[in-house]
Amino acid sequence: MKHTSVTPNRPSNRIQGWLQEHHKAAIGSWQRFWNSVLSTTFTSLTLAIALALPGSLLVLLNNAEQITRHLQASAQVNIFLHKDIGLADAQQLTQQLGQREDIHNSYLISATAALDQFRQQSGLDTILDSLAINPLPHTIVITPAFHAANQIALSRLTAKLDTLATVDEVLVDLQWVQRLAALLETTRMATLGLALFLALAVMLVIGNTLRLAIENRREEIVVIKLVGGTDAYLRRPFLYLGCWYGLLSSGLAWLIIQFGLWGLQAPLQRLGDTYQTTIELVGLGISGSLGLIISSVLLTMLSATITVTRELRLIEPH
Amino acid sequence: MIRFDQVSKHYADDKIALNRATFHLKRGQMAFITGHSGAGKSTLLKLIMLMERATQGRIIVDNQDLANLNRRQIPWHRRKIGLVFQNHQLLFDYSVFNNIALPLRINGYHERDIGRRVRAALDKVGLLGQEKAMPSTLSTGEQQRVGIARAIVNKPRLLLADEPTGNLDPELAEEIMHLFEQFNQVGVSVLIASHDINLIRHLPYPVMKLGQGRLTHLRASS
Ligand SMILES: Nc1ncnc2c1ncn2[C@@H]1O[C@H](COP(=O)(O)OP(=O)(O)O)[C@@H](O)[C@H]1O
Ligand SMILES: [Mg+2]
Repeated sequence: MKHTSVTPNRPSNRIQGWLQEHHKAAIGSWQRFWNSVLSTTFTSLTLAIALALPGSLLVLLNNAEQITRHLQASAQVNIFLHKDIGLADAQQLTQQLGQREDIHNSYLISATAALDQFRQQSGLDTILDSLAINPLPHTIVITPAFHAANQIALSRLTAKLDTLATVDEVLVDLQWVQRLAALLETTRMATLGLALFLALAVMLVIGNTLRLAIENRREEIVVIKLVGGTDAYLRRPFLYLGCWYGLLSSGLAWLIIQFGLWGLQAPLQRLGDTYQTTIELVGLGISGSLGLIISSVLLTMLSATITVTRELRLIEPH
Repeated sequence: MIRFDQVSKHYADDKIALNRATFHLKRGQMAFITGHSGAGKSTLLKLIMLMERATQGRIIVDNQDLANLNRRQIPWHRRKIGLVFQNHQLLFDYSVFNNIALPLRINGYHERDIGRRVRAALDKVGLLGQEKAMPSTLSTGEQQRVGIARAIVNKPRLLLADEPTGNLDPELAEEIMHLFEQFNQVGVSVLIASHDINLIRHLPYPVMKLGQGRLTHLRASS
C-alpha cells in the first residue's frame, strides 16, 4: 500500500506539531477546567485555603520579626556587685569589662546614684532618708558586642560574669525579647511543619481530583491507547489540568493573604498609636508572590505527575 | 504480514485460549478466523494488538517480533494497525469527525490535514457529510462504518476486525464485508474474526477455524 508523506516526520513540522499538541492539550484542559465551574471553584478554594494558611502565617511571622528586630539589638546586662565592694573597685571593674572583646560598652551606676534614681522614681523620700545605710549595691550596665538573639554567646558571657568574685548577681535585662524571639522561632518551625502537612493535603486533593477526571474519561483513554496514543499524549491534558489548578488556587491564596493583611492593618495601627509608633505591615512582595505561585504549581504538577502516571497505567484495553 | 508460530495463550485461571496456533497472513492478503464463541478468536487478535502477551510461541507482525517490543513501544506498533470492534467503541460525547480524527490527533497531524483525511475516510465508508453528526443519532450500521473510518483514517497496512458484523442484519453485514474487500483491493492486509459462517462461506478468502484454542485451516485461498 502506498504511503503518502506523513507530515509530522519533517523536523520543522515535528516541532510545530509538538507545539500544536501542547497548545491543544492546554486549551482543551482549560475548557474542561471551566466545564464544571462549581466543582472547579470549590476545589480551587480548598486548595487556596490550604496554601493561604501557612502563607499568611509566614507573612505575619516576617512582620513580627521585623518589629522585634530593633528591640533585640539593644539587649542589656545588669551586673550587681557584692555590697562590700568599694566604689574604686567597682570603677576598675567597669573599665576592665569595657575592654573585653565581647562587650561593646559598660558604665557604672554607683549605689548612691541608684538610690537617687530610685528616690526620684518612687517618691519614697522619707522612708529612704530614714535608712541608715544604702541597701543598693553598685551596678555595672554592659551592652554585649554581639546581637541579643545570639543566646549561646549571651549565656556564656553571663556565666563568666557570674563567676567573678566581686559579682553578686547577673541579670539580663531583656529576657522577654529572647523569649519572644524563641517563641517566634518555634512558631516558624511549627508553621513550616504545618506547611508540610498542608502541602500533602494539596497533593492529595489534586491527586483525587485528577483521579476522578481520568475515571470520567476512561472510555476515551482506552480508545486512545488502542489507536496508539503514547503515555505522554495521554498524560498531557491532565498535567495541564493540574497546572491550571495550581495557578488558580495560588491566585486565590494570594488574594486571601493580601486581603487578610489589609484587614489587619487598621487595628494594628490603633495598637501602634498607643505606643506612638507606626506599624507598617509588609505583604508578600514580589518574591513572596512568585514563591507562592511557583510552589503551588510545582506541588500540583508533582502530584499530577504521580497520580496520572499511576492511574493511566491501570487503564488497559481488554 | 502476520506470522504465528506455535503460539499459545494461557489465562491466569489455567484457561487455554489458544493452543499452538500457527498461520501466516501474507502482505496484502485477506483472511477470516471463525469458530464458536469462546474459541479464542478475540484472544488471537488481542495478541496481535499487544493487548495480551503470548504465553508461548512467536508472533511476527510487519517483520517485527512482538516479544521484542516493550511497553513504551506498544503505541508505535498499534499505529500501524487499524482495529474494528464489534461494539465499535465510539465515543458518544464526540462528533463523528472527532471520533475519526482521534488516530490522527495522537500522531500530531496538522488540523488542516486532519480535516482532509477525515473527509476522505468518511467518503470511503459512504458517510460523507455526516461529520458533524453525533454517533448517537446514527443507525447501528452507520456507527459501525464510523468505527471502520476511524480504523482506516491513518492508512494502516493491516486491518483487524473482531466480529464487525455481529450486531448487524445480513444485508448490512454484507455491505460491511464489501467495504473490507475494497480496502483489501488497494493493498491493505485484512484479518477478520467472525463466527458468522453463512456470511463468509461464499467469499473467496482463506478461512481458519478455531476450536478450543486449536487452529485448523479450513480452506486455502480460492
Ligand atoms: N482476560 C481473560 N481472562 C481469563 N480468561 C479469558 C480472558 N479472555 C478470554 N478468556 C477465555 O479465553 C477463551 C477464549 O476467549 P475469546 O478469545 O474471547 O474467544 P472468542 O473471541 O472466540 O469468543 C474463553 O474461554 C474465555 O473465557
Ligand atoms: Mg470474541
